[in-house]
Amino acid sequence: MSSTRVISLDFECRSPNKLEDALEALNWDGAQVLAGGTDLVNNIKINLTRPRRLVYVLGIPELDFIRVEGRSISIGAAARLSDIEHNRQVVSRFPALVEAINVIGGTQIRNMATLVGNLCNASPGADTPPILLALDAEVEICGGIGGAGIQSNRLPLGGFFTGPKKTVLKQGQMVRSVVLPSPPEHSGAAFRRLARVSLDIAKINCAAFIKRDGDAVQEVRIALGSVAPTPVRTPTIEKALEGRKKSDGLFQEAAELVEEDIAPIDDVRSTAEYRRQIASLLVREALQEAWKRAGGK
Amino acid sequence: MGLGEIFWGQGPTIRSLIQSDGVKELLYTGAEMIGWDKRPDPKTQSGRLRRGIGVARGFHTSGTGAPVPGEVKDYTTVQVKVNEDGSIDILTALMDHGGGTLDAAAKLVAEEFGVPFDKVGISPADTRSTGYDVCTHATRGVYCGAGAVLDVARDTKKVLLDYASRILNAPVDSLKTRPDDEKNQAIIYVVGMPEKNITIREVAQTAMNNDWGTAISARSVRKVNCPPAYTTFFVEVEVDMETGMVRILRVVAGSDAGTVINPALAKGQLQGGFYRGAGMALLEDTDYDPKTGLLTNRGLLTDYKMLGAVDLPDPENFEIFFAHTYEPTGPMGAKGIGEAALNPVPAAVAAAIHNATGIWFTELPILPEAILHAFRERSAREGKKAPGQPQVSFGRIGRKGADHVEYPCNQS
Amino acid sequence: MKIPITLKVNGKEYPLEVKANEILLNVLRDRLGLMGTKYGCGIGECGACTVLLDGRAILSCQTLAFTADGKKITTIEGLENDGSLHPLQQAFIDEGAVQCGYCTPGMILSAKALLDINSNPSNQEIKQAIRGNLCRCTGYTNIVRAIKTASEKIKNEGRKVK
Repeated sequence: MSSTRVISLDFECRSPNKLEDALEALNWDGAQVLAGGTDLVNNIKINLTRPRRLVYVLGIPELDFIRVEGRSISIGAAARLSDIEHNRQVVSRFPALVEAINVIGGTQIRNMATLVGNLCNASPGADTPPILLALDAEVEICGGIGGAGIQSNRLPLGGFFTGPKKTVLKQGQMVRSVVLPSPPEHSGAAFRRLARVSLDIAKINCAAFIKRDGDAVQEVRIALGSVAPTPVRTPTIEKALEGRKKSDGLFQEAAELVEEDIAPIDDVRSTAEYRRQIASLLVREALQEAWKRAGGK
Repeated sequence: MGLGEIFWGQGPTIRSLIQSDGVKELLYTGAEMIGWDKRPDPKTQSGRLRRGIGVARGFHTSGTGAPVPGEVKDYTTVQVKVNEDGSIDILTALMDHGGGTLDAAAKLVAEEFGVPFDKVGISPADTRSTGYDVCTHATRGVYCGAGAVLDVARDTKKVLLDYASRILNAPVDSLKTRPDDEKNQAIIYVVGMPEKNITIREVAQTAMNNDWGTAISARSVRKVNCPPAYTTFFVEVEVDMETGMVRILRVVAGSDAGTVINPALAKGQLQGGFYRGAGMALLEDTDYDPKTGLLTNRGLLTDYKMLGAVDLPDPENFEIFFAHTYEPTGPMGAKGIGEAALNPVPAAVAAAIHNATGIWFTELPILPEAILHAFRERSAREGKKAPGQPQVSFGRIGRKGADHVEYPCNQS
Repeated sequence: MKIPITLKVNGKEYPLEVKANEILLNVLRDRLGLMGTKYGCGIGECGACTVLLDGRAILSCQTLAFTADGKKITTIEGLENDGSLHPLQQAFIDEGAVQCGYCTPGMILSAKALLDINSNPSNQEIKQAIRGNLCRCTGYTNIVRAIKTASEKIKNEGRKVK
């Protein structure tokens, strides 16, 4: 029975303060990670998921970090969205990530929710995957039981999503952090999205990253959300732009190729037709802004 | 339809003679405030961001009173008593949702007796002590509900004046009440001989001491009119022709509510009514899946979207004014405002969108998808149509198999 | 499974035993009798259940009670000071920002969380701060005005907000 007022589903919970205890508790059929709860608690209420054990990870100090590590920034699983969007290192290096985080929910949701949680929920329309894909982010997946210790391996974010609300994570695994390489010189990134109102899930969103070599596009990465079963890159557009010299109609021309890489549908938020039309607009705008932020003219 | 005409309120028996009408004032004043004369010509609009101004006038009956009782019940039962300390208590089942219905009732009684506002109390209501009240709906809260309170208060006042006439030894018809700020009381005095006066507290005390009784009265009151409350909304919007998104820039809202008893809350009705009407025009819809009969938004606010604070103009860009009218059948000249504050808004927004884009939308909500679709269709056919001839968009985007009929409009 | 926790609400400590699936909103209302916090939508879209947790605005309908163990919670009841209303509460009344009153507790707490870190917010900043709070009556106009007025009053009085 689903009710938004009370949870009738019975489950047990664990509140570990060490990652290895969390992984131990997760290695059990029916165990799920509870972080901010802004997706999970709803899903339980409307009967979309029926966990038998919740492992609460926000009380684990070793997961609550935003730190510079060499030439990357690493964001821990327990770092809240509002902490990330106000963190000075993040603000100075990744203004587009801050913009993406800022459109999520309202202040309350950003005070509760985590970036890692947003990724693991794997909604095709989530607002952080496009910019993280454009920034070449990686996720650090952890697992491990018994005396074997914690095993972790890094996976590029592009390989993390397998379908709507599905990721590669297996029972007993969780994401410890997201790692973002520091942006190189002469590069810039931008984020755009359209929704029905200010407090809303995106109808469509888009992020672009450009590394400039003089007045040529050296590297470019573009990603969109809400136009496919998972957030997607746009290899067709990227190929068309790599190495090209920036001219007045270049981005517009390239943006029109977006139809090759997306497969939007009609849903309660918008129509496939509208998403196709807006996709090229958003790609063009994101490219123009990223170019500007890369110092280009 | 204006002064002196019969207003068909809500159905065959609910009618009223229009005895107050501020529409002309609303339209002329509002037009000046929004800059109606400077609005753009839709035929010459160009560019990505296009602005437009629209106007609509609406109304609603103040309650469902009728000359002859009909199929709609509309009465309020009230008891008003004067306490021995000079305060007054109102007992009624009439409810206040937050629009100020009970505030108005208390103010009317305070005004009628000359008693300080904080000396008028609203007693807690429960069905063991109150008579029936229909409810606070149909924009009847002030006109019918608080109006009934005033009527019963006047009955109570007659009883009180009768006691006062015995004390002052003057006929009832020569007595009046007035407030006295120094004494913080209401005073009953003899017209023409103001030195013959007494506070209502003394009257009530004396009545008790002399075994006369309490000044109290109770009855049900049914109003026999339902005068229309009018509102006009001027709206300025900005339409992004590449995304179809509509931004609301400025609103000038005017209302003819007769005597405005709660100015701050009456303004609140206009602000709230605009927000809901704009949401109705641009966003809100309950769509049903034809196969399952279930709401496509699953009944959750996740997909039933409403305009938020960020989507609405700043307080400085929302101007409100009231027409100077007096409704002779209303309590101290008042009419209602509640539903009238919503009715014209979707039309005003649609008119503003037309002014900006040259396209009349006749189906709500006017989604960005619909705007973009209509605009692209028109642009594609620009050569074949006479320039500037507006089209009517009759399709609902998102619904499979929707009609999309266009025909030229006579007005622009 | 019963979990012993201590909730610190409005300066008082409440030792309790909660089930894992108990929602903080329901504990505040049904067990602690603090009815000011409201149930609106239950899915985190309306903000009527907003409370402050360690000074930050959060949604109590999406918070499992056991995760609030040991944290400092402020509900609307905690805003008055010895019988006198907080400037925000007074401003909401004075500016006509309260109609049915249902969104008001959550709205005021979101506003308080804003004014605690930004004593001179612009209209835009105010609207963004209450983005997660829905109101169906007022159209937000007077709410924005009330928060502005309260911020000016607090500044003029030089009061340190609680």
